[in-house]
Amino acid sequence: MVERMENSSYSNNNGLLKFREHVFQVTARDIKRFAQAIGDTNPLYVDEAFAKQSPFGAIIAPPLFCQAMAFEDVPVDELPTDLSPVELAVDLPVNRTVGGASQYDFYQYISPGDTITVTSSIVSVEQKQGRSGVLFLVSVETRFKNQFGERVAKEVATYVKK
Amino acid sequence: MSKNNIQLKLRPIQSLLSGIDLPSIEYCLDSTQVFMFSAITWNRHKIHYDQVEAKKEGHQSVLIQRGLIGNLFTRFIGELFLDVFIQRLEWKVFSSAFPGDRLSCSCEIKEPLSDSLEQIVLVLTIINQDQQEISKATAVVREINEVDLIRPLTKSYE
Repeated sequence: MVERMENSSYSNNNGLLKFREHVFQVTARDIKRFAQAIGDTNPLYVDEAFAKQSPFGAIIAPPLFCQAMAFEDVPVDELPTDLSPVELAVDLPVNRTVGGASQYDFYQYISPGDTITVTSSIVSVEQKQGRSGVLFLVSVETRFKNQFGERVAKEVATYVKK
Repeated sequence: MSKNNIQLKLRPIQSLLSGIDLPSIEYCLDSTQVFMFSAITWNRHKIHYDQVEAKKEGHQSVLIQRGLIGNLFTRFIGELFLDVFIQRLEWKVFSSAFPGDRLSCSCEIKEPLSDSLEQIVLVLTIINQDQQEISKATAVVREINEVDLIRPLTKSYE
């Protein structure tokens, strides 16, 4: 079992499983910057007047905006040496990380003014024999809930550590 | 129009029924785009912006993030279809992609999820300029409806 700790700290289970939680206040500026970062020019994401006239009636965030909230704002000195996100830090005999796969379930749109609670946990670590040696598949589940306690999205991401 | 000269912004049900050959779209991301994505996601992993570190880890250049590749799929779906809500997107990265790569995204409609045709499954692929498969994705989409509308906020965000 993974135990929840206060202030985004985490607990270990055999040194593998972690749980973290943080809160993110969504602003129109965050959404605009995210849209620019992914190169999406859809005016629904950035143009308030356009969005008000749309069926949504307000600016909405791109589907994968949750990515902007997934990693907590921890100081650099709390990150692993390669500065990969702390959410996927596990004590393993390897020091390189690359993203492998991701599965997102979306339940509703996000818009400015939402307060999103983000919880993430490492749900499994699997050892494999790769072409160049041992590697580990680390699966991280992240859940996003809004200020009404409703689910917004869920991601299960798999990272390769080797 | 897409590069295949096929009209975009289709409605998914119409596309499905017409059996239309869906277009592909090419994206090319530069290192600034990759840096901006690291910044907005607060992902400080060096392989996405530090050439020396990326090469030290055996990569030819800084890497395009897995997450940013996912956004190419959602952009593509948004450019293909009008007014759809993506219920699920799963993607896997098979080969690294780098700034400057020409990433071509294509799609086929796999099947309706129900007899009412309210949801469809899309199978999406990204290949690079060398025809190497970079990523494959499956998406479940439906048309937007009333439940997707944004409720009034209790206080202004301005």
